[in-house]
Amino acid sequence: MALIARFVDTIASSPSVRLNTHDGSTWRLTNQSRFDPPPAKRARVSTLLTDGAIYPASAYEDRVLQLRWSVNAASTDAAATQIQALARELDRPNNIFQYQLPDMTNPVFFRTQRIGLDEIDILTDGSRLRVTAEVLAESCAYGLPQTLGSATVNNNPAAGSNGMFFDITGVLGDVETPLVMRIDHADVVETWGKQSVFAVRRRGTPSATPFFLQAESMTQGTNTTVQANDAAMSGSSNNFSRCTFTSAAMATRLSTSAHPSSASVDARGRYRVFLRYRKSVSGDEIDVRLQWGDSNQPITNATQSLPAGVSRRYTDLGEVQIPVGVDAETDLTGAPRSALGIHLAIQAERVSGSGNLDFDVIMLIPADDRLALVYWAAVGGPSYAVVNGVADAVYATNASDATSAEAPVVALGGLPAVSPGVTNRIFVMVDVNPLAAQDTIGDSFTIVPSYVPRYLHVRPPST
Amino acid sequence: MSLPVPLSVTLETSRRAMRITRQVRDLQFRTVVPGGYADCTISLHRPLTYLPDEIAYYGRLYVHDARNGKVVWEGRVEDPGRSAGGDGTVWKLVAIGPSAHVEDHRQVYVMIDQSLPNWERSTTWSEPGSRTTVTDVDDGDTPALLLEAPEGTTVPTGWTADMIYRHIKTAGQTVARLACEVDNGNTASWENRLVTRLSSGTIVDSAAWSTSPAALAASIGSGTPIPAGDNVAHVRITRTGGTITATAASWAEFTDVVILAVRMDASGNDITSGYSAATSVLASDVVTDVLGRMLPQFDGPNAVVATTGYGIEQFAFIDSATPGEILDALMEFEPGYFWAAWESGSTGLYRFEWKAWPGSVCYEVDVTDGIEAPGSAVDLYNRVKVRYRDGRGAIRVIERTQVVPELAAAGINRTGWVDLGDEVGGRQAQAERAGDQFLLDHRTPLNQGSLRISRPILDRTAGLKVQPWEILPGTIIRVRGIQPDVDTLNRSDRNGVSIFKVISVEYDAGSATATLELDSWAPSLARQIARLTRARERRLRKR
Repeated sequence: MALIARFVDTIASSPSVRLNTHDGSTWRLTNQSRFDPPPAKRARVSTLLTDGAIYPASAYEDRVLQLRWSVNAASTDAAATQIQALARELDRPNNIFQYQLPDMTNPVFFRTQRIGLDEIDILTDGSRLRVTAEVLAESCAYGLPQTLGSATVNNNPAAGSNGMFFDITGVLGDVETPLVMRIDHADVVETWGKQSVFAVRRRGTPSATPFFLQAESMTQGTNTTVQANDAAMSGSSNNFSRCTFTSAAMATRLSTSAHPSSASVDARGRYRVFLRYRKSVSGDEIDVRLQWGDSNQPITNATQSLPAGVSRRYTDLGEVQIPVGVDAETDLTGAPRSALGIHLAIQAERVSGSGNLDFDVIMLIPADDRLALVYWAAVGGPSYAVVNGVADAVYATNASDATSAEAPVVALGGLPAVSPGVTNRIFVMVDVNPLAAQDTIGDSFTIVPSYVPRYLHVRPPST
Repeated sequence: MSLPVPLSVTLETSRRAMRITRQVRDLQFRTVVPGGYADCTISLHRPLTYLPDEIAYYGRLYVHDARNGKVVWEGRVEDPGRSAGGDGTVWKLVAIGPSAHVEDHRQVYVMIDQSLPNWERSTTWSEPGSRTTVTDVDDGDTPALLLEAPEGTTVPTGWTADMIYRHIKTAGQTVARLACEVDNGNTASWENRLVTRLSSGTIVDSAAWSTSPAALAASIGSGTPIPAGDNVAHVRITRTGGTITATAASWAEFTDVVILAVRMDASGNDITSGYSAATSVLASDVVTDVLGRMLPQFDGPNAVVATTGYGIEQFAFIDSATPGEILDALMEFEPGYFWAAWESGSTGLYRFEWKAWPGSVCYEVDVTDGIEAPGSAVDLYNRVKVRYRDGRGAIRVIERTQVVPELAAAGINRTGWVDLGDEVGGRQAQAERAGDQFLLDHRTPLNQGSLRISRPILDRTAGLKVQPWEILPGTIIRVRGIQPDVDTLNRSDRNGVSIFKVISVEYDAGSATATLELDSWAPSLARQIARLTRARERRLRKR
């Protein structure tokens, strides 16, 4: 297979060619061309108070493609025509340069930036030209887009499969890449405007993430007892707890001495805690809060006042960290230490009213990598909702992928990204709107994930 | 960590919400106390030929932590500057945090007023021959309103001398309580009266003349009720008997005159009870009133307002004030508290808190990333003089003292100065408190320096390791690597050596570093000019 070096219109297996700069007759990309990896830029902090420096942040710079061509035209006019064609391509604000070495299985694509003709060096020998250009390109080269099989994410952490998560493995590329998730629009639209959470865990063993704790498995506190199965609650058998507020003052209603119960390197991390609950009397004023950490000196998060309504809903109880406080993350060899679970307690008080408070499950969503809250519009119409990490945007499309005009969708935080060589677990909470009319265990998202692999250089055959 | 800084930036207007993280050239934001989110600056490459949908005056700018979705900074775009030059067309956006809302509005404001010069002679209800003055009682240095019929005046039945208080009406507020003590020259057929009025007047309390001092009082919602909505108050004497010729004893002295305005709760509803014995207001009650009355962009019903303890006996801004100035004045009486406005909630209103400085160390850090700690002795004082106007309007100066070991060892006395102006001084006890609070704050050297943090540090209060952009002001920080005293690990308050208050935090995404200002603002020419300008404006307004 011959070398491919050409400007194209899309990142695709058979793109339209805009200018072939290695066509075997007129254009030839010489072997003096270079596709060096991008340099890294770093924030560097150094004082004489300690040896060395620290690098609190780093990112890749744009890369420079040093392209050298020989142009063998039929005449001087033909040579000028070729240079004009090249100038037009290099003058475009953005372009795509496809590159594939001979006998390489797959191409890579560079997204290039505009450069001026004065940045092109042209040596002329009649109708023969030597052209040198240093073309700015995005830091990573791109592989062909990868669309994965759809994943059905169930809105029940106790579901047999994909209980509020789905996994992506075998990610191609050298570095992390933003994820695109296409979701059936009907799954995200309700009259109250769903608020969804997407979070990522892609280190260690993501399946060992202690991301939920059933209320009925916790120590039942003041006026709180385990209840018989309710199909609206998660879990099997006796599957929720009820507090009757015989004593209405703020007290511990549920607790556990350690979550997770065993020390684990995969327990380590920061988590955003959501409680799924249900009031029995809409107008009751009930406050809840989370205590966590060390049971002898617990940390108390902010108190949440539960809104009116008897729907099953989530309330945000703030963040926790496992382990609490100081964490020597590795031992002297650099191996990660296990982290012991933390004490968790749900406290509640009934300020006024007469009803009960049911506790279903506590969700601990990883909040130390990427977590996005998406506020969906409460209007129907489009076919799909798209969480697009590549474009850093959330929007809707019709069935043909045309962008659909819709009330603004707001996405806060970091949209998910996936990394090669690891299992990427994407956690999904369908609706954490505190005013949701109803959170339904039986709900699900059908998600079609896709991504574009990113490479620091070129693409090995299977990665 | 050594990854891109995980912050995301979003602009939102009525036309578009757009995530612009990858397009911003720089990102710096600052949080302060008092205030909360202060300002944020970003630069964007956009054409100048049209206004992009995501840029608008008062459009919202959000900075989120991409790891957990939390708001790191939020505000409104107020300065969308445009430029064109070597870098192309650049919009430099400066967003101001919700703290700016406290300067959106100015009005006359009265909570409690015991300053007698604020009462005026009422020409409508006073007989032409009557005399009304602000004076001192002969038997002490006690301010009094003196109402009298001059000796020799013919006084028929119904003859009246009247003084009026209008400032509550001017403020758009209503009267909650009016009280005083009154003494008379004789026991003839006269009556002392307290009157309140919206249109027609109501005698809310009265008593026949007596040569023994007696109390008069009325409150909204109490046994002698002031009608709801009344906004003007009078103190009055009226001849109830037949016609006489006035003698030297035809007078009434009203002392300890106190008028309180109806307060609002944080939702903006009038509080119509609880004034019957009130002679002071709490700073926390004033904060709640300001929230409900003047700060509609803050989430008053869900605000956290810590209860204060000191009763403020004089708090009236008859020359007007902004909510910011009111809150600043409250912090002079309660310097252990501060206010801050933070992120918006589901209602679109900003979270507000009035809280005490924490009693425990929050952050633990060392000096590896850099510190400047001048620790100047220029802010040590063992004496302070406090200027205020008393209830008669006379200028008073009192002195308070404390022992400062460093000054005592050097044999030096240094005297500070606190000017309470006209609005909030009023009472000697308040002046003494303001002086004592000043001395407390100047017992140990203020750091007035800065600390740089580029790595995660421990937040003991939250039990988390926090990144530099998560560090908040209004906290106490303990710094290792500085000469500790034997008490460093046990102390929870500022000691000027290794335990400091965090006054402001500025984060720069370009260097991934947070710069903390400690104990007080670092000296700068701009701040010195601003301080001098405010002081000059206060002096000019009074006189």
